[in-house]
Amino acid sequence: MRKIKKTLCILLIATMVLGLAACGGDTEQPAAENPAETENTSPNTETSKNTEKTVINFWHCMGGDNGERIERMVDRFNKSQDKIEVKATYQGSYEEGNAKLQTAIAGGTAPDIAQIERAFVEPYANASRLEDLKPYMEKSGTISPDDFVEGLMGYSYYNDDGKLVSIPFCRSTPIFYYNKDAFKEAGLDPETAPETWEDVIEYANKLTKVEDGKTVRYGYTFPVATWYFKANVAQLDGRTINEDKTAIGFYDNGVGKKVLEYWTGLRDSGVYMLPPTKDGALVARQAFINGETCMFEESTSIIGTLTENCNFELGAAFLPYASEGHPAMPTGGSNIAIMADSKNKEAAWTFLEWLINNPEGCLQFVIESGYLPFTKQMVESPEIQELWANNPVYRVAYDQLQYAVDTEQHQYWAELKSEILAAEQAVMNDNADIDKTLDNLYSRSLEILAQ
Amino acid sequence: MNNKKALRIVKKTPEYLLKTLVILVFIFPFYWMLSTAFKTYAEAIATPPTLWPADLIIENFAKAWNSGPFLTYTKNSVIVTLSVIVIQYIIMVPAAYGFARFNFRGKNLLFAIVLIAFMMPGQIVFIPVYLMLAKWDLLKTLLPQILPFAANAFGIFLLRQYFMQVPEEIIEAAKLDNAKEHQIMFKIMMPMAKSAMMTVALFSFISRWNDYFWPLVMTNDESLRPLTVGIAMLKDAEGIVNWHVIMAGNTILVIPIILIYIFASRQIVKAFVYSGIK
Amino acid sequence: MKKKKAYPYLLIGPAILFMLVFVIYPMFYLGYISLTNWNLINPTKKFVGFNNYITLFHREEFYKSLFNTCTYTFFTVISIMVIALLLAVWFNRNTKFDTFGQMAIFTPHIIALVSVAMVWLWLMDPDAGLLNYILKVFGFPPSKWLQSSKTSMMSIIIVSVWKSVGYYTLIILAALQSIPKDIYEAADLDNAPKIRQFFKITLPMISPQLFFLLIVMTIDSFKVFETVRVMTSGGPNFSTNVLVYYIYDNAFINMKLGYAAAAGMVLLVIIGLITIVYFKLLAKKVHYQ
Repeated sequence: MRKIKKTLCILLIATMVLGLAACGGDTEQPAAENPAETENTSPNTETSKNTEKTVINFWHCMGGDNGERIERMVDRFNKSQDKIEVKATYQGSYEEGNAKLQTAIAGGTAPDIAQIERAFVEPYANASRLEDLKPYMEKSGTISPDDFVEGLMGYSYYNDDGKLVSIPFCRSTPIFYYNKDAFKEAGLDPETAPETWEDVIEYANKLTKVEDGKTVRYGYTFPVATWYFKANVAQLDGRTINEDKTAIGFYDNGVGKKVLEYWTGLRDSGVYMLPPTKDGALVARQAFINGETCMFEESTSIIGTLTENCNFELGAAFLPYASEGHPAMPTGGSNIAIMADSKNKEAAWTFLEWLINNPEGCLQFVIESGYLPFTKQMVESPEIQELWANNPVYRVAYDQLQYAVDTEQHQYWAELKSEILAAEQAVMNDNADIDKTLDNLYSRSLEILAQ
Repeated sequence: MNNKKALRIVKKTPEYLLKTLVILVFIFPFYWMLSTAFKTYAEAIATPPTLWPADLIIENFAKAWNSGPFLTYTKNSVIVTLSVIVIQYIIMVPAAYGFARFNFRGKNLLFAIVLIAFMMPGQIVFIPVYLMLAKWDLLKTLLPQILPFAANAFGIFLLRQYFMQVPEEIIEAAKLDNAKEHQIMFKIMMPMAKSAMMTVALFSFISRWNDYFWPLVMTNDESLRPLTVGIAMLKDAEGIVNWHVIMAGNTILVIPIILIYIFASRQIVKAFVYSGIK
Repeated sequence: MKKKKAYPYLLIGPAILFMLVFVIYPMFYLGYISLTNWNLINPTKKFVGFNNYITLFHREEFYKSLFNTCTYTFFTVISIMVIALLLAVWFNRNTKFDTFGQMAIFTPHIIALVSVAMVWLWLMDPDAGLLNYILKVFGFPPSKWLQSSKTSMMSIIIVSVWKSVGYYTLIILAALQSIPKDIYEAADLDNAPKIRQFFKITLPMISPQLFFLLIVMTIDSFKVFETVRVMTSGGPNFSTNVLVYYIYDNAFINMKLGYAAAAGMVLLVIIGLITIVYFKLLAKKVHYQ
């Protein structure tokens, strides 16, 4: 008998716990306990106060300091007017956010606005999940598609009918950073950065320090990633995917081979630090900050961090190019789009318009985060001009945009990308034969792009 | 007497040294996490790493805690974890008992279902579950983080193994005393499998408490999220990785587990004493 | 009489109900998706029959990831089984020191791998890593660890064993502690040596748990994902690409859910077959009191 009572008791507790769990997201419960907490946990309460407020869900993938910057930006918008309430929610890294967005679309619970990593824009556009922004721009008249910085528009237009499916948001490019103090120490002019691959090799040799047969300071590094490979390919007039979108565009013309030979040459010369396959960018960055490598290539999005954390004078320049080529590089980062299934597209556009035009919007986010300004108005604004005057490195990042080339837009780019990365790793990590590796990559690219 | 003791200590020394070495191998990364939580950014990324932080920076913890509604995250983590453990027990113990002690039609098939539940990789199974829960309109509650874990296949399997080991004579004796089935289950089986039950509870606690991907996918709203998602938010996708703050966040996450572990391991030892007396 | 027959079904009913909803239904759903070309975001899905399976069985990467998964499982299961058993027997004492030791061995299981990944990268650095330093001290040639296809899988296995050995040690400890002490006392009287005790008493007594662990470890290893994602992302050159990672990648990065679901079905069949073999071959050898 006592046991039965006990069982009943457990069951009762379970029901209570379940009940509590079921209303865990309910707004009234915590509100009654702790009114102060309600404000940041449950924006719904405000909706009930002003029933006419439209709630716009905005999913983003920014963690850390940038996540907080996004939150602050959204707060500024919410305070600037009383019709729309934007709810920004973090959805994990770009990869996780993408997995999540796809599932949510299938489940009918997608947000109104989403931040999408640029490689994934194409598949969403192909599935007609992104709203064409052109009509909204025409209607509002405050911004036109031509106002955006051209080099950043590679992932905005959807080929078939010229739809404008996304606009630049957290955008970056790779640039070349160097340690000016180390340059001085090695007898190099700190104001002249290496321009070509040959220069880089020469500089790197002077900067590398070997003590007791052990390299204590490397001259140069960049992560073995597709980004830097694409840059070098573009510098030699190759394309990531060829014009017909049937195969890689660096095979027949021998560009891929030249680039990989340059890379292996660097690796074997002992002046280049080979970063790990995973978190290579992170390790390269930390090595640069610690002065263990003097020149490296990385995203423009970390200028602020480098300025803050390097205890030496930071220099930046365009990516070095092959002397028979020209400056060129791809862009990176993510775009922002209105989802076609949104029920509040007008309100979503109002928010987007504010982001683009208002000095309190993306302009401030761009200044705080170090991402690239993406409209001509932003570039000309006194705030950006002042930032550039104070920190010329930001200016270098923007100036380089005139050489931006993006040639990989395809439904199956992500799949091809992992094959290209594997080929780079085969050559750099496993010392595989370059010709054979490229042969394989070429035939794989034919298969993937024909899907 | 004293000589004997001294001799024993000398004899034991190499063993203790070796054990200490093993302990160091396992605990070093944990220690590293703890010490990084007190470092500055510059010190956190220094190579070679410093073993002891130059200054104890306690602000890292405040920074982690204030980066989001951590009180809500904690509340959600606690509700979800405790609910799952309670519900799992209610469902798991009878099921394990049923599988261990009865023969019935379709037993193999039903046990196969338990094994399949254990085999399913969570990385894709969440899609149909999400679509289903969206249809049931449950995504605005904590239930998507609880219900899919209500039946613990691992626990059923483990407890079944223990229940099968209980000597038949004990059960026969109880039956002669006119004990009911549920009395056998609660009074004989469960105490005998106490260490296993504590182990399962501990593992359930850890896997729910530490789960990141499932709650991330199943929640569209900050107010429903657990600590792990809040801590993941400390890491920036592209910018700098603030190791010191992330480690502070992870330390906050780990403390309850350590406490639960100490509690559970005591219970496991107690179970040992119990069966020793018997 | 009727009531008696229904009794076991009542006991396991709730568990089975939840599993039908959250496991068996999703399994059939994924089975259905594997016959389509759906990618979650397309408004329509086309039935493509067994095309996804045919493509799957023609893909070199699939076999590579299957081979990688089997290699991983084989070495991980053996290493964990041996090491966990040794550690459990060795630390199975009720002193403060040993209790602390048990906890120390368990700590890798409770901290998120992401937060210790950097330590492992640093330990396994080919240039300045501690592990290569140790190899050098003992006169072995240095290894490239995670940075070469030849050694990357071994490195992943080391990290995995380190991470989960404590978990299994704890299960074995719990099993050891449920062995009645009087059995050992009887053995002590017979002056049986410790090693003999281990093989004649300890092993047979905990064989049901070891059998259980073998199945759990095998299934768990086949599902390895997190370690690979955090340590290598499947690289270099796909050398650590394992099945679940391959499935996840195809579902959400390459956006080919139908294809990924097909791979998922094949994974389930393989694990299922191995489990059946275990039951057929080993279940009878397990000692029950």
